[in-house]
Amino acid sequence: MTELVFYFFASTAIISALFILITKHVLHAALALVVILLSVAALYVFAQAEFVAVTQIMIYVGGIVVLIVFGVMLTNDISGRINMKSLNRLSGGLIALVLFTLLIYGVQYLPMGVSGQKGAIPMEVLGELLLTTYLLPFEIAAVLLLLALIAAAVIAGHNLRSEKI
Amino acid sequence: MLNASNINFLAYHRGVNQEGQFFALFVIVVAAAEAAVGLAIILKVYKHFKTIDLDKIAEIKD
Repeated sequence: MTELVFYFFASTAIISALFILITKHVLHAALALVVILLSVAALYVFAQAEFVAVTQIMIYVGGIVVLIVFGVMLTNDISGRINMKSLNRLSGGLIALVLFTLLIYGVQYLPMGVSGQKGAIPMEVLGELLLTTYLLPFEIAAVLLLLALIAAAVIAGHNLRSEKI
Repeated sequence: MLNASNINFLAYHRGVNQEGQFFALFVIVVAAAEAAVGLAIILKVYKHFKTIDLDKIAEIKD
C-alpha cells in the first residue's frame, strides 16, 4: 500500500518534469515546478526526513517559485510574449540520455544497505546536531545567505540617490 | 534549480548515515541563494538589453 503512494508521487514528479520540457509557456512551467517540488517533498517524507520536506516546501515553493513568477512578470514586454523557444533539442536530449544511463549504472553501486536505524531523528536532536556537529556548515550557510542577499540587492541595482550630490 | 532538486532527492537521503539529511538542508539553502542571485542578474540584463532572449543579446560590451 505504501509502495503505491510512493509510485504515485514519483510518477507525478516525472510527469511534471516532462511537462516542463514540452511546454512553451513559462508560467505553466513554473506551476509544474510547484508540482515537482511538492511531490519531491512527499518523497522526502517517505524517507523519514520530515524536517527536510517541510523546509523544502517553505523555501522552494514559498520562496523560489515566487521569485520565478516575479521574474517572469517583470521581464515581459507589454505585448505579453511569454513563450519560450528551445534550440538544439536533439543534442540536449542525447546528452540527457547519456547522463541518465550513467546515473542508473551509478545508483546501483551505491553502498546503501538496509538502514540499521529506523525512525526519524527527533527535532531536538536535529537542532542539537545542527549546532554542535554541523556547526561549520551552518555558519557558512548563514554567511552565504548574507552574501546572496547583498549581491542580489546590488546587482538588481536601484538608482542610488547619491548621484545628485 | 530543477536538477538541484532532483539530485537532492536522489542522492542525499539518510540511507545508513544521518548526514544525508543535513546535506539536503544545505543544498536547499544553496539553491535558494543561487536562485536569488540568478534572478537579480536576469532583471539587470532585462533592464539593459530590454529583452531576455539570449539570441538577441550578442555583445559583451557595447
